[in-house]
Amino acid sequence: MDEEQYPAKIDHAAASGPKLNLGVLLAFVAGMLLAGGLVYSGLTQPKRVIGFLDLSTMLQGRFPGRWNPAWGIAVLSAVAVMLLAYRLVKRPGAKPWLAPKFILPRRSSIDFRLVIGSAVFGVGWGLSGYCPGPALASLLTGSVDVVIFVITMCLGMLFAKPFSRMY
Amino acid sequence: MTTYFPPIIGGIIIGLACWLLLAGIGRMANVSGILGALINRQSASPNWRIAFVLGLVVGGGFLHLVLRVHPVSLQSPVLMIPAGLLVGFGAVLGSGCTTGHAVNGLGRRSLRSLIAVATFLATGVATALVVASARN
Repeated sequence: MDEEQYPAKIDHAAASGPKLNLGVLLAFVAGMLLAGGLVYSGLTQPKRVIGFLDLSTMLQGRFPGRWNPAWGIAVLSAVAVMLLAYRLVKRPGAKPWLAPKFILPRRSSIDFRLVIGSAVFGVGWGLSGYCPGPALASLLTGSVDVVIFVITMCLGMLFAKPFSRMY
Repeated sequence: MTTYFPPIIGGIIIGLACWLLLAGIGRMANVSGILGALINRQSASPNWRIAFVLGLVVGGGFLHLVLRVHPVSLQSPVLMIPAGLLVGFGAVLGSGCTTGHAVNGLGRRSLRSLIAVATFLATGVATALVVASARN
């Protein structure tokens, strides 16, 4: 699924190559930037997420009531940027700056795994208001809830491995 | 209108972070996929994944401190146990979470991701409604 095979003839694919080390640094910066966007947009706040998912708040007062569209606005902004990014970055024959090629999911089937997995994910997300990115970005805030969530999330990922092979 | 400013700017920053990872090393910033591959040891090149997760954790800790915000859970800590299990299990089984399917998947106009986003939004809304009605 998440294939890691680079063609052997491309030398800088070696883990020790200077190009890839720069890539590791870039991944760290991208992680920090993502955290910045998540914290600043308010997506690390469960009340923002629940405030978006709990549509019953629309009925409280004049429409849209106490419903909070912030989550949708943030995600739509991010999607707009990425629509542009995929158009500009993934041109035919284009290569990433620091890697031999793009490695993107190739699966395109709408299957049992996708729908059941996403449905299960949504229940946990709606229950807590946390998803993996915001939870990791909140890990060092000292919130006990986030620590419990991240530990059990990692366990859930471990449990999913055999099922991922089955289907 | 000013209340919409942080989500718009924050969303653009989230998009730019995913853009950076894509343009830089040709990878998708799918948080659950990156963490899942590390936990399930499915990765032949774990270094960039470890760096990305560290950046997310360290950057998040730093920014929460600077912006003086703190995530406040709406549920009891006990509920975080099933919630975490369901999120981790579902994200790996469905091969993606919000960053993977919503930001990247919709960004690359994947039908698979559109179905995934519609599904987790539907069950997320249903769960939030049940929780809200149980509270009242």
